[in-house]
Amino acid sequence: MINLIRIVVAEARRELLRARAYWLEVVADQLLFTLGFLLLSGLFYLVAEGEYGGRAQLASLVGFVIWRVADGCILRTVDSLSDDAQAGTLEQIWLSGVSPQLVLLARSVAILLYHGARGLLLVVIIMLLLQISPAFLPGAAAGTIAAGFLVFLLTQAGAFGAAFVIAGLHLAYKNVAALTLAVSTALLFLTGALAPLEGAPVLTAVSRALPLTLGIELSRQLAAGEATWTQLCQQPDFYWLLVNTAIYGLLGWLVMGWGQRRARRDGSLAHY
Amino acid sequence: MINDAHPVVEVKEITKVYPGAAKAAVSALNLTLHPGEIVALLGPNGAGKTTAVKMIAGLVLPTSGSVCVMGHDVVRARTTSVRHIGAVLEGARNLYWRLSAEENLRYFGALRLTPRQQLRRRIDELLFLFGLEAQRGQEVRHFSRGMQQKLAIASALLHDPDLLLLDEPTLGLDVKAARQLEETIAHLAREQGKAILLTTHMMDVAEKLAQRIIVIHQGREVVSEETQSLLRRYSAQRDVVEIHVTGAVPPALWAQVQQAVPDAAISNENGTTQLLLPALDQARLLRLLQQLDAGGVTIQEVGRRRARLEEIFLSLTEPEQADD
Repeated sequence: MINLIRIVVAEARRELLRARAYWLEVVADQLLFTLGFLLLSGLFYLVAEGEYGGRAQLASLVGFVIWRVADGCILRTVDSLSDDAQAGTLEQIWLSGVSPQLVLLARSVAILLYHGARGLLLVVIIMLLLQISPAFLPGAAAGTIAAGFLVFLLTQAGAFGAAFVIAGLHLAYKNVAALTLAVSTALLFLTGALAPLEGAPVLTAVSRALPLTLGIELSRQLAAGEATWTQLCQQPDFYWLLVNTAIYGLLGWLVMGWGQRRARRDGSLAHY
Repeated sequence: MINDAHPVVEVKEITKVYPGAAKAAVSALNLTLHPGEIVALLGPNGAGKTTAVKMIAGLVLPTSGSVCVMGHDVVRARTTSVRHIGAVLEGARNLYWRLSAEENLRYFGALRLTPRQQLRRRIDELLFLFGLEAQRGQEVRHFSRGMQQKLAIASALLHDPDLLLLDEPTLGLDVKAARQLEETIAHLAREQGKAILLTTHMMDVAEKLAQRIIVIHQGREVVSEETQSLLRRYSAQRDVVEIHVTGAVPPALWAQVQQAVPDAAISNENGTTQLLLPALDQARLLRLLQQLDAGGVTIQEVGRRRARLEEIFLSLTEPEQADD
């Protein structure tokens, strides 16, 4: 555990130094997603002919931010692995003497901290601009926030499972940019991140098998004051979220291990 | 420093056939390295040097054979065995270019779980050893190739490994930087007892640094011998005669020389032509000199010397290349 913390700190430090080096890109990216959400909100307002109030905006914001954090984590996990393979630093990481899976886990935590902080900043800016706020049940704010945090972590853990699957495939097959884009797009449009999916049973069934859907649904209930911590634990969806996360996590771990072995067999751990 | 103690690395019959490849990249290679020993792995491009180094580092899985580092099998006990290995691989940056020298060392030191206090001390020591103290806060992308290479080696030494794998360490360096690096490599073996396996195309570097030479060609070991013994053995068979003449040798005359001595080679530099011939008996040499003189060539210098490692290397690898 101490080793993991030490590596998380090293990875977080490296991530922050990288962000400092590319600060303009970070600022532009943050601006892009803030404006992107505001534009979508405006579009929804027009389509709904004015029936798009604070509650609906909050639901969209919850979905959008969960997707944005997950998308940022997935892209960064795959990109960092690709960059490391091209620079030869991946081989140096493999030579470090700690298990590569431990390094990847630590890197995931560091990436989640970084993108989580950026997601939080996005939430605060949009809430201030649109004058919206969560509607926690009276006296249940602390418990709801704790529950929300747990649901957020479980949801993002599932997304990391998907990221590990892509990263493992990247180790084996190298160019997986199109796959990353496909997953990112699917997570935005098929998880109900922007607006809840209704009236399409097949799509809903597919959607519930994806990593973010259940987490977004539960988070929306918590933010809208429709559920407390206790009520959350009584919902089958919460347990499905646990199962969903475990499946994606396990799948990611297995594909990553397979990709690593294959890359070592093929001598393609690095491609500089 | 070479001794009969436990070897740092023991490579037994490693073979690598990449999936889909018709031929083995490395075939039944054997190698042993002791503390303080420098071994040069030589071979032409595509001979299998980098594959061999990566198999020793556990980065490429061998098809058969075994590699043990400090008694640990690099395939079965990868995590334990690589703790004894530091490697700088050719063609790779090995470092994060957007981080400073110190940040790179801190990052890789943390990954190697070096205790914090010890890591701080070690970073200072290594930056001092490689003369990079003044640049510790500078981003690596601003470094010269030589400085980057030094920092990559410093990073590989953070955890004080027993084995250092250096794949083409002097490639792309200027003469001064290459010489400094050679001195550091010699110091690491001599003073710190590191076992060093280096691959290089620079035969003078191998001749100067390595106690033992292994030549591989098309994945197969052609020779594995102590450097001095190899030089003695081959020199005895391959003394060379060098004839320096002013200006160019007319083609017709060169054709006559080649007819008389089929293995003769010719090169031209700064208006002087050098003829390189295998050792000849005195009578044949005199006849050749008379032939050159009669052809109107001004002979500047005639000398007999022992074959250099480069010439031995070419004689070991070229005949087979011709067969390809």
